Amino acid sequence: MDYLKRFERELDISSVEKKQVVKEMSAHIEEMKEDVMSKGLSAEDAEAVVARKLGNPAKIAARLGAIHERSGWKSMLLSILPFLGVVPILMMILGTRNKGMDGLGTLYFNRPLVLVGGALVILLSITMLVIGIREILHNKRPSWLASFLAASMFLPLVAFIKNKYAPMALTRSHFDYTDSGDGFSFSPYWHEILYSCFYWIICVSVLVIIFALLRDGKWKLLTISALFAIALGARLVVFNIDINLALLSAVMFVIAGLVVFAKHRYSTTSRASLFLFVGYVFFMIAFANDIDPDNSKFIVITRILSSAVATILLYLRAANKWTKYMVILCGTVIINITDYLWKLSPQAGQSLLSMAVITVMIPILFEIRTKRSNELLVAD
Amino acid sequence: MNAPKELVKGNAVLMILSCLARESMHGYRIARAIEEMSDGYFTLGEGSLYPHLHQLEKDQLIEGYWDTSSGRERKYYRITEHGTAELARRSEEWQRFYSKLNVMIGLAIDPV
Repeated sequence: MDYLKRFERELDISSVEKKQVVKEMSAHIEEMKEDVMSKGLSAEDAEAVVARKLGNPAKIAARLGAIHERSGWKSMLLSILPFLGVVPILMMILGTRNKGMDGLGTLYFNRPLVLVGGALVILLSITMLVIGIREILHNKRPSWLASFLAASMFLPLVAFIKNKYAPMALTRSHFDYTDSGDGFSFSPYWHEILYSCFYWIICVSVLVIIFALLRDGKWKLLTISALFAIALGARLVVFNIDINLALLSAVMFVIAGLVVFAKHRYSTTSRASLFLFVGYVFFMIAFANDIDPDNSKFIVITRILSSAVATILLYLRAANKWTKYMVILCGTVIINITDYLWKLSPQAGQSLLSMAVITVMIPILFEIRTKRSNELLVAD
Repeated sequence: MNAPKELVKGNAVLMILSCLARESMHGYRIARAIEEMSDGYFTLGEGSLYPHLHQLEKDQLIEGYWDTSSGRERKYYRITEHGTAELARRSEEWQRFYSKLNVMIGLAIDPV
């Protein structure tokens, strides 16, 4: 692969800075090449000499990445923030479930812990929204967003583990209002609180992501299309037309993952994969349970894991060029179809998935081999 | 014969600032100037040049600007006031270091 392209791929800095650094490096390489070629070497040989003189592009990119690092203590603090969100969430749970707290009142607004906890979660989300938009306006990528998304994913997973009907809550009204004689009382369960927090955080994350996408020329069209699809979906829901919201959510989740980890280096591939894996497992659990509640857990989990592996492989395959990101969107749809087929006929689903995995694996193995050989050549 | 890599690495900032104190230059020119000024003794790894330049720019010791007067768009660097002061400080430090080291080496070779 071309030296400059490899350097560009490895360089993990804001797109504006990246453009400038790549342009500067490109001018340097051109001039070096001209110098070497003036000594009688062919263009190909000159390129090899230049690559050897410059050294490993990944190392240069990493050093430049460290200098242009956007994250400092602020980003670190922001990354920790969602985990501190456990405190207000616990406050809300204690405020509704602890019998000792019942004396504080039966009405929602008479429960100070719920009120304060809820206010803190909202404050956390709004802080994230403001900081996120501010960072994007300053051409900085909100790298801390990943931990917010990871934390938000954790909430419904915990709720699901503790309550097997929890995924149903995703498509139902969450709160049970009962008339206790002196007006409506509120009896939320703790898993519902987790879902509420999840919705707050995920909605704000998606808003930040949409904003980032709209500012990026490459993603603008895709974002507008996704927003149009969501608007269409919402419209169908209003008219009581049954649509697959789980698929729509999965697509949105993949877009979110791509934005957060867009233009990543190899070092972040594992993080990106983990992010997609967790998200996909969650959506598949929700999806499988809503549609097929009688399915045995073993079959469901096997199917989910296989689909998640395919998603990761698709991501790895498509991670180098932005045009390939489209493959992931298509991949999500294919995996959903595979999943549907699997339910109709396990053999057909399994065969299709195996074919997809093999198709994706061969080029990955080949690419890794080529990459290693190139690196060895440069090192020599 | 080339200077030991470690010594060049450790003094790369001083070399770059010394070049830019003479005139504004782009990255490629800086690499060549270092070689020319030292009669080929100092060879700064070209890959490590840009991290140094960008760090110096971040520390406001040099400033970059784009120029197309040569027919090709290039990023030039010029030394700032802070950079000039830093160059003077580092040069003085180096002179002191060099003289003390010379004394030590002299004593080792020819003990009193």
